[in-house]
Amino acid sequence: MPLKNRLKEHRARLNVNQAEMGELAGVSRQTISLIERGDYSPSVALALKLAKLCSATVEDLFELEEEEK
Amino acid sequence: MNAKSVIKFLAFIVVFGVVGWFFGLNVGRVLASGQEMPNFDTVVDFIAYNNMAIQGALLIVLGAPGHYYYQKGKKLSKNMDDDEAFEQGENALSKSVMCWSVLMVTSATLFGIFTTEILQLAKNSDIIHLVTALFAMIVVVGYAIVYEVKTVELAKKRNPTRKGNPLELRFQKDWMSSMDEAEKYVAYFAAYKSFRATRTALLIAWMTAVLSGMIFATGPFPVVLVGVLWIVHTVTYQKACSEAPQVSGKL
Repeated sequence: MPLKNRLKEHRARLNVNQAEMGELAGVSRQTISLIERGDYSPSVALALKLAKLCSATVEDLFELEEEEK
Repeated sequence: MNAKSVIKFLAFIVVFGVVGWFFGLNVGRVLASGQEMPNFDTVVDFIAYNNMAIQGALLIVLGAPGHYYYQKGKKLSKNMDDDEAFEQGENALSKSVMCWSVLMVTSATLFGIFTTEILQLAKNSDIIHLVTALFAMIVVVGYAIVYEVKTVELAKKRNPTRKGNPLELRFQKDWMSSMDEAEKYVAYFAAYKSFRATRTALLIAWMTAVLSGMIFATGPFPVVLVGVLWIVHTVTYQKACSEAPQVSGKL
């Protein structure tokens, strides 16, 4: 299911790069990169962790894209 | 199952059946006429007697891009703060590993072709070609292994959470278990693509082995070998599917 995300914006607000974000979230830089590009939808646990780091809700970070019928 | 897909499948079987019948008819006619079939003796002899030069050329042809991508990845690793450069570095290192892996397999294959002439060379006491072929393969494969190890070590510097010593047998297990969820997703995606490509390759290999058995009298071994590999391929996948709910982090 397509997922839009605002992780990059929140990360910029925190003034951290992907490696630092990954370290804070306990994942690799590649994972952060894949999520920001929309190539990977994180697990619930990771989404919650990222939301907490960004001081936001999961819904602030991630949004389901409406599929065209 | 709908009628359209059944008809398509049957049409596919019929078309390939007709092509096979036509091909078999013509091969049968040639075999029955006693006409000599083409063989690969000339090619095999060329490979056997020029093994060192061919291995050297292979090292240059595949080693050059391997080096290029390795150096590119190394250069892009210098500025770890640049996210885009990091991504490009990852791609470059992947391509580098691919070049070295293809080099190793091709070198081993060439040596394998050489060994089909080994009895003839031994009869002629042709020690020079025996020694140079073995030496060439060891040098090429050894070179590729050194650069694969260097690439893996560089990847570990870029991704400090990754574990595993590429010179140990448990490397794949350690590497996989040190991956996080997205890295495993990428690995599984790549593995499934590889599974699909191998399934097609095995079908083509089976057809080629059957035809070569008829035309070049290669004997039953190629067909049996392909069959065994096909069974291993299928059973491994099906078994892994049935065990998937219990996988949770295991390889």
